[in-house]
Amino acid sequence: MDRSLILSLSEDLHFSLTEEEIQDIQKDFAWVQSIQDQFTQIDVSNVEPMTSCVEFFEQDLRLDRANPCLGKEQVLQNSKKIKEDKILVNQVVRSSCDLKTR
Amino acid sequence: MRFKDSIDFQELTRKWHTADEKIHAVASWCDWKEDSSFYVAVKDNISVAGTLMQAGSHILEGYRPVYDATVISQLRKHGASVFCKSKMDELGMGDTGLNTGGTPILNPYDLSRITGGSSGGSAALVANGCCPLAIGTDTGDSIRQPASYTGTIGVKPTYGRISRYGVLPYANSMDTVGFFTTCIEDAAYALEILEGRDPKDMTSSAMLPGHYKRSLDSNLAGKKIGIFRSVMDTIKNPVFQKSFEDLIHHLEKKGAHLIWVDLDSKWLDLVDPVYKTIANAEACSNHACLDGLRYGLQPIENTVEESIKHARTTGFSSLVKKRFIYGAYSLYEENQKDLFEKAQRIRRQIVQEYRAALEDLDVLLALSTPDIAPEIAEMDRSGMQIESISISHLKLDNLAGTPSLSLPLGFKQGCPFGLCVRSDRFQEQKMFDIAKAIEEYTGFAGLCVEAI
Repeated sequence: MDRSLILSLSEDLHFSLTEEEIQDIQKDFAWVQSIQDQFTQIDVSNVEPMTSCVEFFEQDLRLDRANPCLGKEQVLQNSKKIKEDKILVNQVVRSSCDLKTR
Repeated sequence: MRFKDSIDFQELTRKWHTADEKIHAVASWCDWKEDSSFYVAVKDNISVAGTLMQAGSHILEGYRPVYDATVISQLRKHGASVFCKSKMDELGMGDTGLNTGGTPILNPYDLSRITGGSSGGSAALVANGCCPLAIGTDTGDSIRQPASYTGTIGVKPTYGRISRYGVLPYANSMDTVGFFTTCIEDAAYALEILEGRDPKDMTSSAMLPGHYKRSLDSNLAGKKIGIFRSVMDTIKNPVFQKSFEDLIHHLEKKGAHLIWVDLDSKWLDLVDPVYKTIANAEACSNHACLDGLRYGLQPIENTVEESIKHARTTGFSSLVKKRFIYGAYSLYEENQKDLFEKAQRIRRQIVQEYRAALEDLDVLLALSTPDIAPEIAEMDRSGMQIESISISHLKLDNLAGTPSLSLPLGFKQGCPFGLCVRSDRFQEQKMFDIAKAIEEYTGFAGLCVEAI
């Protein structure tokens, strides 16, 4: 797994990796490649993917009716800063050039 | 009610704190009620309203759920009080009890050894005699493996038996709520308390609840017991082999029909790769919502995007990030068909073979783990490798959604090891019946460190 692919994946996942972590992932990638090799040797083209232990026909589905169960206060309870019904995320302003008029 | 906690309450709370100082199994203390019928520990990925829930991860630092999980409501309805949230491997992704975001959990039988995971904290608290029941979750042996290492009974019921509402998901196509006890009667009663259809969890089963404890029957005459030869042939430990052989002679003497079961190694060798491919992919998708904005770390950066990146970079451990990378890789457009979707197809094939074997049996037996709990100093936490079937066979029940439990079978070097008893979907009564007979043979009902 080359470095650029690892960095691209980590960008998609919204986190950074240290050099040590990148090397660790590259070292272990042989494990993923061995899985890919094992999979290519098996023909299951006529088998439906199994997406859950409970098949759709075993589920007792109900009509999708909106049923709000948490109030505004509860939803915002874990936020450090709130204003009315919004979560506030502080932005660091380093100079007046950073201020943008919206 | 079977659970007994008839000791002085002051003595009990002192015992909890002393136990935690010794084994570091408590993530946070709850507001317990003094007059409860019994006390329960709950794994720290299950919501208890108002109580800290970190699931072993810094990204959830300071987070307090605003509602109770359904299992918590069920427990309270039956007079239980949750006294603590138990430590776990980060976000359920681990099998050692070492990657907890804090101090590692220590095995009560030998403090230099691991408890296993990811439900290691719950297992350790029951093993240490702190409570008769502890709740855990099992996605890829996370209850049964620590049960084997700690000499407890660890039960993973059929997928859908117990509601997952309020449980932090890891790999939702396999996540199952389960529990630890010290005897089969308690385990049977615990399932009666916890199971049931929940309209808030559409994967929960509509099957009528059972009366497992009342219906327990340890008579072995005529029972069809499978011996999982494909697994047992890979376990070379002479102490383990002798214990297992003595057991099956006893079962035969009591009138059980023993049937040797082999599954094609072509499929068995794929159990671990299929599990890891699906679990890592589902995990990275499920945890995409952990952005540190609405709860948790909530760092301050120049932009919202930078805040998210900071939270996820510092909030997740290296091990979890690695799993997310591999999960995302298998979901990439060019890889999805050959990796993720292929794993799902192979999963169905494996499950078909496995359930065909279970169909003709009451239960299937194999040793839960190939050895006792490893020493902490020996643990290699660096690499990911494919596990042999002697370890990965427990994941068959996660892929298939079938019920399975581990109960203590014997001791080696003063440390316990377990036996896995499994049955087909919704056949928990058969599983408990045979397990009860085995428990009567071993005499390990009520086993905990204190009792020894």
